[in-house]
Amino acid sequence: MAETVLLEAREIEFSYPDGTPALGGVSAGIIQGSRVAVLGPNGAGKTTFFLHLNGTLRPRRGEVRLAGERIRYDRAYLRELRRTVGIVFQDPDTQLFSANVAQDVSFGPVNMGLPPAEVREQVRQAMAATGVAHLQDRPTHSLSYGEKKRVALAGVLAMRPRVLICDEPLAFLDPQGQEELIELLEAESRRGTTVVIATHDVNLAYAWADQVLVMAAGKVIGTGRPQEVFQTAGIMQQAGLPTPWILEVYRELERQGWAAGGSPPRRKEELLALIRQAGC
Amino acid sequence: MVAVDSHAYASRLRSWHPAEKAGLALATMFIALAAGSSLTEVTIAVLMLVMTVGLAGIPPGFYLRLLALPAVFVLVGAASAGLSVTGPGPGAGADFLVAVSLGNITTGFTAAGLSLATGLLLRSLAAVTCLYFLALTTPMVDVIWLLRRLRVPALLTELLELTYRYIFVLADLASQVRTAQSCRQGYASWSNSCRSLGGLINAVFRKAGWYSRQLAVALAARGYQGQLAVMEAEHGRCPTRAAWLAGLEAGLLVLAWLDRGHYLG
Repeated sequence: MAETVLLEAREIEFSYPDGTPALGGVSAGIIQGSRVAVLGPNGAGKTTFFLHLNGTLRPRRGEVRLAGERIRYDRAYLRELRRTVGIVFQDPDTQLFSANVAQDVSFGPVNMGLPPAEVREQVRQAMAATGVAHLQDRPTHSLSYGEKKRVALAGVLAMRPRVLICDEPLAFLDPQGQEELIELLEAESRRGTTVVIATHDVNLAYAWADQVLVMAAGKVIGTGRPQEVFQTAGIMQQAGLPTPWILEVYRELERQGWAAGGSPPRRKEELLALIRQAGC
Repeated sequence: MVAVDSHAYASRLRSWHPAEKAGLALATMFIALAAGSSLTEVTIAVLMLVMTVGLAGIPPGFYLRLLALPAVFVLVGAASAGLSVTGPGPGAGADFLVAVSLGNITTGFTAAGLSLATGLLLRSLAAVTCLYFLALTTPMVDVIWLLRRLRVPALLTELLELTYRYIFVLADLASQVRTAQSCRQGYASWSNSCRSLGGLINAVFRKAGWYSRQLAVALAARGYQGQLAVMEAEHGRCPTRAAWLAGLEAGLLVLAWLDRGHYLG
């Protein structure tokens, strides 16, 4: 399958109204159907970058392209763009406005102008997919943090976006909650949705992503397949990122002569298999 | 307030149609206020108590504590309404039941004053129980739903909805800030407390502003077009129940009519 760039930023520059520079010429292409992990220290501009991708922020210079077409900022276009590019925000309390879970999830589909029966169906499916169907009659304020996060995700999935952007979806979740959320994103990715996440978890990014984007100080300082990016010492150092442990163990195996070249393993199971082979 | 709402969620009358509950509460309250019949007022208070505690399953202890809230206000009001003061001149010899005289000014309770106070007390009690019936069986979400159905302007219902939602978010924040402050001796002395409380209020206000900006962005990302449009919740209607409730109101009206004029006030 040919790789199509679905969403592309070209040299976008942006400063906040108070003059704080946020993005200094960001260029990046997001491939259709891929899993993208955006890494980088706090304040690197990840959230600002995301807000450009759905047209919330307008770059001072540069442009954003969707399927090769330069995005516009008129009402009708933005409406369509936001239906295509969904963003789940980091703090679910900033996204959940309704005291009723099902009604909150319905907000996007209703805004899309769908007929009531379809709204109901999309809400039902999104809530089933995120495992929050049983919460539909609970008041929002009685949900746990993890439940709120999943409801927030359901609210965006209910719009059936082609690109799903999640800003630090794993922040503050317990290990089990993280596991479940990753599975959710996997499932969404298998359905053909392009999934973009911002994360600080290099191990997750290394094992999960097809494409990694490393940002620092308002710039993209490295992009590519995780095996390449995470082995480029310069990028990792500049962004202050540690090396994924699988990669570190693998390198040590190589140094000891227990592993012959080839592509380094990305998952724990692959690494263990490699060690077992070497042990024989 | 938070406790009232969670009891409303857990109440056994949660599934009743909001219009039925609101209609019952408001119609009954109207009868209580307009009847001018003490028997009707007592009947209403007992009826509402039975429906809220017995039928809806609100714990009696919680209900009594809730009743105690307006009690001070109502008692003070009734007492001062029942109190008669007379100076020299005509009416000086009013038939006081209990009285204190200071010079030629007499202060005390007359029979008429006492009955006025009792009347006020009963009427307030009846009205309060009606209000509590609604508050303890109908969550805020359903009340807002009903208001929207009644074509109350969206500006008001949306404001209500957002206020309600963010009360919980901000109350949570305030309690976290308070805990963090007291862990650092923030409330160890009077002057510390004043300073900490100031800081707490400041933090909550700033965060409220932050939430409103973030919310605007998040809503826009989901296609906000000037209205918090959501799908309507479905509430099952029950004509039989509605008929029963209407019958109940009719009964109260008949009682009020038969007992008209027998008013303690």
